[in-house]
Amino acid sequence: MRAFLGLVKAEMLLVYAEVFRRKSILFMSILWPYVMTAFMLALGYAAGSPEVFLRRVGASPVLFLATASYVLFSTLTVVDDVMWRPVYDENAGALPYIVSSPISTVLHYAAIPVPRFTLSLVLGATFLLPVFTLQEGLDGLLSGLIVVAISVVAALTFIPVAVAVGLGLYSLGGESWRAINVIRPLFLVAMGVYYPRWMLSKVAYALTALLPPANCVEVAQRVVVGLGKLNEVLLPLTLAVVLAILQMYPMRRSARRWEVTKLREGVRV
Amino acid sequence: MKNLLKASLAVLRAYFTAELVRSRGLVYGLLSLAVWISIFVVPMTLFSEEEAMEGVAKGALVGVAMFLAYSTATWDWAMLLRWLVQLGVLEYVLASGSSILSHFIGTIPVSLAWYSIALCLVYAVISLFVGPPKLVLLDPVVLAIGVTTLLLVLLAYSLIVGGALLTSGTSGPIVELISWILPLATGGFLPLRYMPRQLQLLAYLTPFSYPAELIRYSLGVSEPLVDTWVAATVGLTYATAFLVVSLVFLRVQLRKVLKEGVKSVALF
Repeated sequence: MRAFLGLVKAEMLLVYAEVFRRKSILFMSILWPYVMTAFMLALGYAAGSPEVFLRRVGASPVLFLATASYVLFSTLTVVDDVMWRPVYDENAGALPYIVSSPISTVLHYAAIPVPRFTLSLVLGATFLLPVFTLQEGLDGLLSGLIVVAISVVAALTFIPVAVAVGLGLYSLGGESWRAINVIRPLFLVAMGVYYPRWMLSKVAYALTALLPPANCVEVAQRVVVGLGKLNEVLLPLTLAVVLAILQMYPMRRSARRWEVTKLREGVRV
Repeated sequence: MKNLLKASLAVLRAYFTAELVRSRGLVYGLLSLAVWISIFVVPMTLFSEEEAMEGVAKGALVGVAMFLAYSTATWDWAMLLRWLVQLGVLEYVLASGSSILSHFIGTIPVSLAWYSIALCLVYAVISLFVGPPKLVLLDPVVLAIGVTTLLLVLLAYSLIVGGALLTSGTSGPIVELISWILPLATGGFLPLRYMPRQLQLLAYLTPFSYPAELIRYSLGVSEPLVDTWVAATVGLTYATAFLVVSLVFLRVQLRKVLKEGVKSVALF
């Protein structure tokens, strides 16, 4: 645990030093969910009307798409941080030191998403809570807080699968980062970020349920739509946690395989 | 001029070999694009009735085509300079006395090939999820002017963003944000008539709105807010002036790099 906290502290120093040195990144992060929501709303309003959306989905498009953009940002930070870090470390020339250090790769990769994940909680306060409060008053504030809490579970349950897939692909060598560029948006499709999963076919619904954060996203959307009966909320959340625990095994295997590959084949500098 | 063309040809050969022959960059890039487009196009169907889908498909195709053009200018051309910094190649290019423009000129044919294939893929994705877009060529002359204006504007934009990246060391997320806001705010994604009046005015103050409006009109998607020929004349003049300014800007930034050295690039 102490080793993990040490890694989190090091990652915090690295990321927050960068964020505060380049305040433009902080500004961009705060603005990003607003831009995405405006973008999706603009596309939707040009294609039709909010009334049709309300009838088909059961929620105001503003609230639904704001939730989607927030969840997109908070979960994408996990995927991006974990999946791109080997490339960044290689470009920065730090990879040989990281690979040859005695720290556990699994712990290191579990610590990597923490700083930007905490940054996404700040976004909950700067984006989601104001939007929900403006739209629905105090009830909206409560719903917003629930969505932020669910996004915490979504991001945490995303770590094992992101590490397993990311490092697993890097172990294969070659142009794995290009494959990651394809898998990254596929995760978003499977999570049903902008298109509710309950509107998918049963087969697609069952398949996407294997991705832990997809279940959390569904819960967040159900809260917004008002379909959140207790069993409909608790069951997917439990499923997400159980799946994440099960996916820790492939996570460890991928991390170990990547480490061994790098130690055996060397690192490009 | 001869040296510039020779250098551009060498760059083209290098990119062609690296991106299309030696690697699977094209295949992966297209797969990624198809998934991203479906993420943004499919939710549009939640807003529209079944009978309105034909108009949605047409609008989506032109909107995505414009966005792809902006993305190409941002990620292929402007970020090219950042990539040269990351690879440690920029210093050698500058020290060799070769014009940096050779990299832009050499990349354009590869980008255009990628863009054409990507557009076919976008057509297929929209046909699958929304319905086949049925475009009508109303005015080929206006289409030619619109496409020319778009190319000039995007080249100028990429020179300005690329030059700014060189001397500021600005990070990827800022460029990513610009690449989303710009087409959204200047009528790239949506016809200006669907936008608030203040944004319409703002869009017409930039050179970006004119080509988008001209292309939409020529393909029968929507009418421009101002007279078509006024939009064509102002758009083409504005685009040319913008390109001249961008060339001057890039030259100033390169001089600054020669004096101060290359900036380090950010973590993200």
